[in-house]
Amino acid sequence: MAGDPAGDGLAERLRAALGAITMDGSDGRRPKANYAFWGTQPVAQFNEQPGSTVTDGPIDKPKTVADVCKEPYGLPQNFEWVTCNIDSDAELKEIYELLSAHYVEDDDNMFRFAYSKEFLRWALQPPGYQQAWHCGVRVAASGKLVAFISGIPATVRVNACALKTVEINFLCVHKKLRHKRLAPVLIKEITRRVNLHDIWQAVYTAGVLLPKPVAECQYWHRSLNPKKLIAVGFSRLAPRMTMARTLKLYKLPEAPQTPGLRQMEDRDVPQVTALLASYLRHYLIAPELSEEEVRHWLAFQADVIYSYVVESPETGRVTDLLSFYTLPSSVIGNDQYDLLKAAYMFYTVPGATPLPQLMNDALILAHSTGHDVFNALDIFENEKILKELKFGIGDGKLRYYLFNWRVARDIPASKVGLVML
Amino acid sequence: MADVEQEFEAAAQYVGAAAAGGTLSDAQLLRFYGLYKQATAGPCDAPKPSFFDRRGRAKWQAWKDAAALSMEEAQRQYVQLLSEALPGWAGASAAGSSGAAKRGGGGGPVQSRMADAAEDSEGPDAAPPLLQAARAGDAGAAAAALQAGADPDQRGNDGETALHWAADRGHIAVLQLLLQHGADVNAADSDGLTPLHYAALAEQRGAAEQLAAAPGMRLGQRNGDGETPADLAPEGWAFLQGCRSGGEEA
Repeated sequence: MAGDPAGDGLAERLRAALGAITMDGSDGRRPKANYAFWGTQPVAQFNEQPGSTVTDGPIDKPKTVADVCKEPYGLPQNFEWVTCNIDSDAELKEIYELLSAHYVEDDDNMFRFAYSKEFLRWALQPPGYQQAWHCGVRVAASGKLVAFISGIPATVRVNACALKTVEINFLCVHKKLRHKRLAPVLIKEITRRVNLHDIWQAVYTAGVLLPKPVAECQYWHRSLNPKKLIAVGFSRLAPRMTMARTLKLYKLPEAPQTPGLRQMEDRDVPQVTALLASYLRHYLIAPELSEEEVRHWLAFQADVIYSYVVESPETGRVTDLLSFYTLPSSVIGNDQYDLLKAAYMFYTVPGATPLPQLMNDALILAHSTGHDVFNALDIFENEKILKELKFGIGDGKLRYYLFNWRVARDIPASKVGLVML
Repeated sequence: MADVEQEFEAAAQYVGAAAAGGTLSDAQLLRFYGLYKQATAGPCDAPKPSFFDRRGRAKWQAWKDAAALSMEEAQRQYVQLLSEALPGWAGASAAGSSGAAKRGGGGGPVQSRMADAAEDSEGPDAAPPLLQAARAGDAGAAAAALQAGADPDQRGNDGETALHWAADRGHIAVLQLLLQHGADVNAADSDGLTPLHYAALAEQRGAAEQLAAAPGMRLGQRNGDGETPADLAPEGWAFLQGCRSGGEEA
């Protein structure tokens, strides 16, 4: 606030207000009249009439690997495809730097996701990953990495069908090249590379409205470090609330409250796999995770993935699971702070412990491990418990999309059991 | 028609980015705000914000100033205003963000922030005028309230006084005025927190220094959880030292 000529943060307020303005204009609450790229893709379209005759199924006519073009899509002159090697520290660093400078920002350009290298390894190398699906574009002359898209294998059940899919993520194009329309080429190229493995469906998420979401979910945020969140503009001090009262409102105990709660260990994997499978059965879109995948996705790794189980003191059985992952954001143009450390709810299964208590322990653990805010969607059973745990509604939505798969009916957020990074 | 709208949307996006970058003055931002609201929502029918809400009033006025324009004309003027302020914007915008990469436009997660809770800033403010003035940092209004006979120690919903508000927000002029009028420097709210506790929690060092030096101040006063202001203060507030819990009481 010092150095603000208006003396009372008028400039900040207006910037925040203008951020809200661009959201009105471009967040896409209503579908556009036409989608130059997505209108040509095998995705559900807005103008389709939902009818009782429609059943879940693929949109494209069945194809085989033999039908898939063997050559990569053409790029604009002076650009070339590259398959990124995540095992190479140097190449991982290139991806990390591209994403750090050019990946998702908020509407007000105040925060930008800053995935850590360890996080990217975790996210991009699950069991069965294909190096060919870590797909980059370089400037031919300089070798500079300027665009990236990734796919990872996953079995996702949608209603009654277990689909062999890829989860598409980390689509990023250098800011200076956004006019070259590289994103559609990246999407077509990753599709081609995935099709070569006889996989014809994909899952992806986006904030914007595209043809056509299978589910629409709402972000919620729980302040863990309210003073910092206010200082960086993530949230604001309510006009009629003191800072002292705000801090008191969000204060958390130092240690989790559930007896028998401990870090998840490798020996828990078989029990956690079974626990997850039986829980996810209640949801209409959810992953089917093998033991190997559970071992990968839920192995505790500080600053990447925090996983805990509740072990019954009587039986020694694992009864509950809670987990969250760490996703920091760069804070753009703040003198006091340069990083916002956010925890995102991952897979959490209440068994012997009520969900509100389990989630409250997640908040406590996220706070004691240095996170500033805990983010969750209104998926799973969260909608019922977010308010009592002092979550506030976010200004962002997350839409889930399926590629080449049509569902007869949209899936409500409370029936979504899939978390995408 | 469609062209105006498209140009307007591109301009609005550009202004959003430029505003974050600090390239536009507050006066310019206010005019953009007013034209934007007129162009998208039509004439302003919101009630005038309260006297203490300076930002709200500035924005409300900017919107009112555009009231005579049709929505299309407001869009046109918005684009024109941007072209006058930053003549190169159209080229820069085409080369820069197309909007597709924002909010994970092409896939990926969303950078969501806490939405403002509208309900706590709307509706009538039931707080006594003195507390409202202290909250807003309006020394003139606070003086008027005291002149009119307001009790300097009157309480709000959480048992807090005007001095708590001035300390929490760091409004030094109001704080001094209240002390001159005999406000209780050791007043405890419903959790036993004094104005100095508030200043320590909110890291309002200037206010804390004034309070610590005020006559009658009991530095070692504890709140309901047994904490002194020094326990809650940031590191390096030497003027509170000696009254941490377990330490010597002042």
